[in-house]
Amino acid sequence: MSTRPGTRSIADFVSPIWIVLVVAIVAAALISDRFLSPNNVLAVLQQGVITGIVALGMTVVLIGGQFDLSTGAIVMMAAVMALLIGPSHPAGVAAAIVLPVLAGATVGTVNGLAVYKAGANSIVATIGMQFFLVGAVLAAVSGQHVRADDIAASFSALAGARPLGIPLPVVIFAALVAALSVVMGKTVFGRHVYAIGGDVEASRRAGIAVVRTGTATFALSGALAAFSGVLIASLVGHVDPTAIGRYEFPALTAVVLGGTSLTGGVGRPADTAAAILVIAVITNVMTILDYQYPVQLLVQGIVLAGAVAYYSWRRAEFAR
Amino acid sequence: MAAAALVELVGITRHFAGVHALKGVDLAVGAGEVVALVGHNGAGKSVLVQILSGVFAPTGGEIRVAGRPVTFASPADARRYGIETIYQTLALADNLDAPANFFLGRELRRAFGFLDKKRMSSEAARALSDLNPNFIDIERPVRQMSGGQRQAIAIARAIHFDVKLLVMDEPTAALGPHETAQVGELIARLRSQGIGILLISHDVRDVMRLADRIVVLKNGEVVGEVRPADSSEDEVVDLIIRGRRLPSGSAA
Ligand SMILES: Nc1ncnc2c1ncn2[C@@H]1O[C@H](COP(=O)(O)OP(=O)(O)OP(=O)(O)O)[C@@H](O)[C@H]1O
Ligand SMILES: [Mg+2]
Repeated sequence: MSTRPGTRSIADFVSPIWIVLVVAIVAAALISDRFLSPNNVLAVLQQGVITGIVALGMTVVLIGGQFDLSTGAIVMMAAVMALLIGPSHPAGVAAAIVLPVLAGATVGTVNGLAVYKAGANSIVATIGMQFFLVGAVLAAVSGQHVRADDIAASFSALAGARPLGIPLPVVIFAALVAALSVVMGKTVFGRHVYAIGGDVEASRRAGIAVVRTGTATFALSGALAAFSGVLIASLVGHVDPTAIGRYEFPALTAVVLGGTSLTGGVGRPADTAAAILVIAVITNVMTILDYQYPVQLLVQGIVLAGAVAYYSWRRAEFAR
Repeated sequence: MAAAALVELVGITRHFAGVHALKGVDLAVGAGEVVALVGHNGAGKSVLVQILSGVFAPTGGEIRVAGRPVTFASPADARRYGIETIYQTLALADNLDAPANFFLGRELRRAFGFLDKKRMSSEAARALSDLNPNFIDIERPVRQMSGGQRQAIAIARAIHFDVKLLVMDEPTAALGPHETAQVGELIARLRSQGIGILLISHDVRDVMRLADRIVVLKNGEVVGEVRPADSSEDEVVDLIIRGRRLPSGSAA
């Protein structure tokens, strides 16, 4: 048929972030023989999961061409909600998982309608939502620490269980990556999200339900961020609402590092996951080597700047 | 117009903050009729196109399909009435490949909302090679394609589905002579199938050859309408520039 592989490079099939990940793993293994020990590998995997789930939702929103900066506040809201609901008996456990996620989806829906129906700028709208949520939650708990006295074992198991020795959150994260890869790569919904991110007006003219599809991306992001919050609640059993919630920028860092275009239309959930792992590997090695937090931040900043420079260069190559 | 026209615009006006882009335009296209709309840059042709295709709502006036008044809340509405549009801007998603753009908003699906990528690729490939046999390597972002290739995608997808009125806003602006001739043949073929065509073009010679009627728009108003058989290129150009016919007797 009329396709010719001619001008394609390896980067069209495997995103460069996967090559970076392999290099990072090999380098880490060479630097420290502790890196590949089973416990350390699991620690690396687990480290990125909370941020990673948030980043997956933000990836979908950004492929549609928009930013969701309310995710950190949704994480906090959901964690507080889960503990306030009181996961002390089986029925409460289900509610403590499902209700925060529904609340997150609802918040996302409001974000989505503000952006796609009312035409608000997504950065402004979702930062506004962030202030609103932080204010509402702090008012609701009077700024106090939230802890549930009596947490059912089944709620703690959400973050603590280890089927086949692998932490359940890692398993859930892997399943989410797989599911979102299928949704974005193989379904009509995913195709429409890419189209909207590529050219929202062309999408509307093609008859795509832009408001419905775009709003769904925010609802998904809200639900995923809320699920992260539930995982935190399950993991630690108490929440300081003034101390958590700074997830949106680390997550956005991973999204960008994974190659999702800041202007929309390009990106893959699995590449965001790879970026999450790259950050986790680098952080882990620096921790093993006893580098201090400022150095870690510095290195992450350099990695991100390098990634942005690379992606800009690559896109300029193909610009018309 | 004898019987009810396929699509009819009656007294259409459209204002944009301070700009009166259309000032009461009447225009009808019948089945199997090719109507050309010509006019200077900024005359209001593309605004008229976008009203017909549901992109903008008119400020005033009425759109009728088969004699019945309709309103288009979105481009999807206009498509439902069989109005297909090739936009001057082409309206392609640059990040997607040719098959994806070809089927944009009308994806072929399998169960559970899964894309049928194989069938979309082969159908798009066939439709595109009908228009341009040299069109290869269709599965790359259309951003990387030539202006003519992009235009071919917009044309091919507009005629592939159930079209009753085809609106073409300068469809050959980026095409070479061979491809332009092919679009001419395409217009003749669609016309013989009873499809109505509204053709916007700056190429008066082409328009004289292809159209049954030529409507001239100037500053948002219809200033004249001629049949190519009873008219001349000079007369049409004069209408476009001056908004009136040559004084009788002075025609070449
Ligand atoms: N979205 C818009 N907002 C404001 N004004 C607009 C818009 N679209 C068109 N106009 C104005 O309406 C007028 C008619 O524009 P239009 O694009 O219809 O011209 P045209 O006849 O298609 O010209 P061309 O031959 O250059 O394509 C112009 O004055 C233009 O500035
Ligand atoms: Mg125009």
